[in-house]
Amino acid sequence: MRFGLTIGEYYPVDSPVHALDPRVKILLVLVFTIAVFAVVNFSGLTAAAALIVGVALVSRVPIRLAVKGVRPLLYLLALTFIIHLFTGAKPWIELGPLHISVPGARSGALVGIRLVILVVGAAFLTLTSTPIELTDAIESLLAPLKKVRVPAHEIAMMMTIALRFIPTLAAETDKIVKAQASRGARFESSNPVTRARSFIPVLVPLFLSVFRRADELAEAMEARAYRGGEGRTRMRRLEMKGRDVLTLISATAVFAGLAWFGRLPLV
Amino acid sequence: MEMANVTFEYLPGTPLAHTALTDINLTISEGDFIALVGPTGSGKSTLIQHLNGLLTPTSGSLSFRGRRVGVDVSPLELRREIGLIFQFPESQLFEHTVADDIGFGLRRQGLTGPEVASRVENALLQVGLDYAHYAQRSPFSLSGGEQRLVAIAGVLAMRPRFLVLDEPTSGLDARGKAAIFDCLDRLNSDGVAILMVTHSMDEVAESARRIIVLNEGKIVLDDKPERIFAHASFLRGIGLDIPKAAELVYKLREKGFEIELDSVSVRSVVDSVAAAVKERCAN
Amino acid sequence: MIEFKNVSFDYGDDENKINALKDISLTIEDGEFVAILGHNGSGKSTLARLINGLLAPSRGEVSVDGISTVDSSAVWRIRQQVGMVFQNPDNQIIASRVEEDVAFGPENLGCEPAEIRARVDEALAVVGMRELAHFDPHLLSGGQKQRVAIAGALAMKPKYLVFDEATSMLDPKGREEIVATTRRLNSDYGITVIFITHIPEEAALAGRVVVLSGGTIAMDGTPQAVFADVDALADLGVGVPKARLLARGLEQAGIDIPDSILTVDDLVAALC
Repeated sequence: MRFGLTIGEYYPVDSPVHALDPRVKILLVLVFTIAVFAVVNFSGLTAAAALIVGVALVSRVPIRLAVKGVRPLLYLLALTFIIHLFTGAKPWIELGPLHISVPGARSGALVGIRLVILVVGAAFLTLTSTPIELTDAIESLLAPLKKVRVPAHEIAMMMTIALRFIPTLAAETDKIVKAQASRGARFESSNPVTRARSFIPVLVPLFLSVFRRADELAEAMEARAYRGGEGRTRMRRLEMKGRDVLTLISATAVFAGLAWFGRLPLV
Repeated sequence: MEMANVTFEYLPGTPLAHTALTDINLTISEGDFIALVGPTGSGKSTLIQHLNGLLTPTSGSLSFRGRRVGVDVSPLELRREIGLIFQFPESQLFEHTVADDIGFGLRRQGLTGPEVASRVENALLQVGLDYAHYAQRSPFSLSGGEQRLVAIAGVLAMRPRFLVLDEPTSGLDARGKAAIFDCLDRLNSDGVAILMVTHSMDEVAESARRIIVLNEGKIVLDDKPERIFAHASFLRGIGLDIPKAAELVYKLREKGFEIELDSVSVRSVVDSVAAAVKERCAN
Repeated sequence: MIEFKNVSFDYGDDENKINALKDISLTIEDGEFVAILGHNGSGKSTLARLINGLLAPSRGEVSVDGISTVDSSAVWRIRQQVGMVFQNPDNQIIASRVEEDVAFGPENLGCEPAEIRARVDEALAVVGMRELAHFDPHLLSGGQKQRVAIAGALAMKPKYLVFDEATSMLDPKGREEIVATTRRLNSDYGITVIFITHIPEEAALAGRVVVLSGGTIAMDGTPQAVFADVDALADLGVGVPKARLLARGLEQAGIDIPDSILTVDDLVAALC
């Protein structure tokens, strides 16, 4: 049972990208995002795409897995492009009340390609790091913010539990749908209101089950002496190695170069 | 109900494909009381989901009263005749009152008012719960055992002629189990065919008149209980128990007792063993 | 030693008060293997939760090694001493990798990373799950999940283990795995076991059986003594091992059989 929620599911191979400290990967995705937003020419975007292909080769992850994440965004991309196309400056062709604009087409294409590059780039984070690594990394990165009352431990714990229960709840949903179908429920009505209502017999039991599980889980956690993040240690500690630091610095430099290049007056 | 050469494959054509059922041939007649047993992962739950059309076979066919499922009879019609009760069915309750929950399937069928009410009352009676006492209560205020009976009533209200249950007694205590079996025995004597998936061989021994053993997606045995348990070492080999009563008989036979057996229920085994022991003492 | 002194426990508010336990007194010595048998709603689960301070008694006192469970400064120490395995295998595993989950307890106790690693490896070895340390729990069988839960409790180095109907959602194979593991923990590692169940065959394996009914202790003794009176147990909503039922049937048919028989093998021996 798989959820279409994840941008890219972990792809288990050994590669230098997989071995990188997950905190470095998260930070680099952030830097890359900023750099790509700074890019305003097509040459810059081409360079960014080339960088992604480079990462794909080094990480040994087939690039089509990363590109798959774009599919849910196709409508959004088309819509963005069309809005830019019709609302840009210097109308070129007039179709009744609509104007098609050349600068609009250009900026629509820029925004669209930028979005695709960002999504594909970010997919490599989840394709090369396990959910557990990501949770640890987020907890560690947020830790300094505890002083300003960011609940770093709680956020990480919620992610851990969510990851643990997604497959369980997916299986449970499947079972409830089948059980209700067995006593006459139908879910295929074309009327959206009827269709939404027909899911009540699934949603009510599902929510009740989630609450019951949450209760029992809380009890089990208490029984194992859980009392929040205070005084708690971890079995695994993330360790930043020389190679991780070096990668962070050099990749940041490359992304800065990308931003600079992307703002040159090129095509 | 008839299954002919049914094979079922999960995720066919993908690297994750695996065959859950292989060439299943099975005929279930009116009034049968069948136990379907097999180790975990042997395909039991895949098989029962075929019986009411939740799954359709990759190859082979099913027919109900001579009509082909999916051709002459739709899965939706089939579900009215064949009630399927999943494991822990109480987890599917959702309405405010017991009566509303039991009537859910009937209202979906388009039945109304008095017809629904009388069928709900009847269904509660069939599971042994008093209408006046339970109908207007919230299902969530009941004990686990009562909730399970209500969930079963929700299927019985559709008046199925054939009831399929997956592990109906799991997690219940002695009283809860007894209530379920009372209900099943009553239904069966009213002519409802029953097929029950179970792990408890002692339960099988008390009520089933036919046992189907499934292993690795194939039917390996299909016979009367007293004959099935003669294959004790084979059953143990695939990870199944044999009932204590049958075990007693086979162990005594090894010791030279001559014991006739026509059922493996506790009562009849006690009678046969007592007779054999007395005979031996008399000699 | 675990001690219940005149313990009562009430659920709900004043208007809808339910007495789950009524004036229970019970002492469990170190090293014992005690089965607690009772119908659903007999108060078994409440009793379990009183031992490690998940619930506090309404009246009376529960103490572990002389320390009262309502002593808020000692409750973490008590939870380290009293490990607990619950009924639903799915709802007590926190992490999506087996070894991460086993580490959860010692992490909460604030152990050093190397110490946690050592405890996790040892606990997984004891329950025979070391090969599956990197698995995602949702890919495991029910019996394997419960063994992970046992390992999670063991990693806290407890003196007592409480099993709250830990076998009731398992198939016979899973049940056997858990019962065998539990008996080994008691005999080889000296852990005191409190095994709550409604399955008579499991209770029969204990050194001592306590039968709860309607919130009171109805019987307390060796399995042979407790299961001798089949009718009294039926009135308490509790079954007896099938072999005992067969033995009693034969007895009523006029065959002379002692009423202490609990297994088929004993019954065969008595008849031959």
